[in-house]
Amino acid sequence: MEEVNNMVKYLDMKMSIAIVIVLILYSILVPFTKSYDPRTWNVVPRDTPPSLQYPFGTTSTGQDVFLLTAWALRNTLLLGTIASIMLVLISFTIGSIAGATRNSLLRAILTYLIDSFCIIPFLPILIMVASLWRERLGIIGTALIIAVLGWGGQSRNVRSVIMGLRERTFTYTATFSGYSIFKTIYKSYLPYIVQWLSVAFIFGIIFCTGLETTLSVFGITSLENPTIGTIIFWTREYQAYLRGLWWWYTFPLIFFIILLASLYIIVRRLISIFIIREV
Amino acid sequence: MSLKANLSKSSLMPLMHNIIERIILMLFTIWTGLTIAFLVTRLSPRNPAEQLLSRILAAGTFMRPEEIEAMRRTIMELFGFDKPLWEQYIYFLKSVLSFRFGPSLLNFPVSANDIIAVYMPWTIFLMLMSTIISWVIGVVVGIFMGIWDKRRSIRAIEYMFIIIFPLPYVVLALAFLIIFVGILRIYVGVAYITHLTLSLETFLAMLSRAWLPALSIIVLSIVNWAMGSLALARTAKKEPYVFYGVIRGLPTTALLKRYVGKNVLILQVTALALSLGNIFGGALVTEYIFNYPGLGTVLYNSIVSNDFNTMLGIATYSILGVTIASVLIDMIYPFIDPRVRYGGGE
Repeated sequence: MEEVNNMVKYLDMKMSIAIVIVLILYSILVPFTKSYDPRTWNVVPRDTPPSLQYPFGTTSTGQDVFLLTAWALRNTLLLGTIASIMLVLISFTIGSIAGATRNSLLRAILTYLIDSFCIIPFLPILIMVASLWRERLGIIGTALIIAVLGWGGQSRNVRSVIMGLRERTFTYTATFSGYSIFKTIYKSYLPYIVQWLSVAFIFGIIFCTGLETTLSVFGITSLENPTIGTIIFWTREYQAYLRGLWWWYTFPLIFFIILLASLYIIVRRLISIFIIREV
Repeated sequence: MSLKANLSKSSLMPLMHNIIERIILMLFTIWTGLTIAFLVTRLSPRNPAEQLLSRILAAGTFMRPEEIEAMRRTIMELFGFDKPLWEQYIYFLKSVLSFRFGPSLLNFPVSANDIIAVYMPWTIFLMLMSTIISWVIGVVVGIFMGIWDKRRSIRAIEYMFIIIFPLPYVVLALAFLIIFVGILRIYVGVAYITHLTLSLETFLAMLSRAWLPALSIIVLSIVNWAMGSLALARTAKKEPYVFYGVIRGLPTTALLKRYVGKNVLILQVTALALSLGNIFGGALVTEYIFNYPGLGTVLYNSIVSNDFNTMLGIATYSILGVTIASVLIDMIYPFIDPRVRYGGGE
């Protein structure tokens, strides 16, 4: 009975993981079936509705939506992952030092740095910086900008998590045994922190893909390389909503929404599992 | 009771000490935020004064070269670009202290202050309305979902929320635009009033323009608040005193109000205050997508046309709003939640 309960209990998480894997496979494998670069325009007839040959139809820019969606998902996921890794690295490093150090000056300086990055108008500054270098911003550049400007909020979380850990007995044991700050962080706290990091990492992917989409709708990323956001940008440029080309935006968006919802379900389940084990 | 306890002599000194410390720290944070914003604007390789000059010349007036040179000097002086960076920085700090941000480049020679003053009411109207409506509905829905979380219908709603929650706001806003304007063809106002008066007519005109953007914010924020409250309510339900209340057979309404609801509300009131601090920066994405005449649209236009003065003016208001709200909350918190005390105490 217990077994069955557990199976049903985590059914949504298992399904979500399966969906994410299928989507990743789709985004990697489909571009291999075509012989041309998915970024090129005018390779297929324009504006044809979904048919057997083009299951998701084609765009006004002469691209196959089936292939375009795969390529866009791949780019969006790649950008989200890279940005999220950088974001978590920066926020974890700064937040954990701010939370763990016994040097009150260092702690005050870092706390105040974190607070400053929390209050700057994040989106306007991101748009400003991105529009300055938009021609040269590839996937990694965009990811870097998002990470460098957006680490404030997560850092604040890390800091409070570590401050909670600091008051536990094993910390005092470590300190009195002559561990340095860094050794304490990586030897004693990391096992606790790894759970937290994995949750932060997935949340980071959701957050960063959302930001990339926003930037692209404003038209300030490199628009030749398809992402979910640039697809929306081009549908707006070509007035696809008014011209009834529903397949152009519907299929990419459905895939995107499914991806985000699956990631979110996974992260919620992870949180509940970790909390249960901790208590 | 709690108010009296907090104000008793023994706890007043640490409280005052804490408040002063917080205010000093707040001033430093504001200063750093402003400095970051300032540096980002000066990163730009484009010179706004040159842009303004070429725009004036493009208007077709004939001028001799020395006149053009004189004009360039005047404009550079007006914007302060002829001075070294540190002098520009001091000039900027002065303008923040006096709340005079100098002439706007995009709408030259109107000052940035006047532009902000014209668009600020629109933004506050939109954001205040949507923040408060979504908070009330979202928190109530979240608490109910937390109390009855075993029911099947609640589970269904939760999964619906799970789909909406991680969506980028841009996607939702575009979907609303397509559905309401493209398919259902419901009227969205286009009226724009520069001189706002306190009359029913003005209010209706603003409402007719703001309802769709507001609705899109409200839907996403309701989901946000509801998911937050749901998580808090679930945590509160695990507390021993709630379990005791259930075993004693307390009616659901009592559980709802006194045991779970109160605990969720304390935290959500704080979160509301923080998000009210956010309204002064304008909703850049909403206003851009729906073409709403607010600070967000002005901010976006000033970013793409390098209008530094307007940009920094809006950024200043937004930074001040966020920081002051968070400090106020810290100060008021002990009065809302008697469990929290600063220093001293027991």
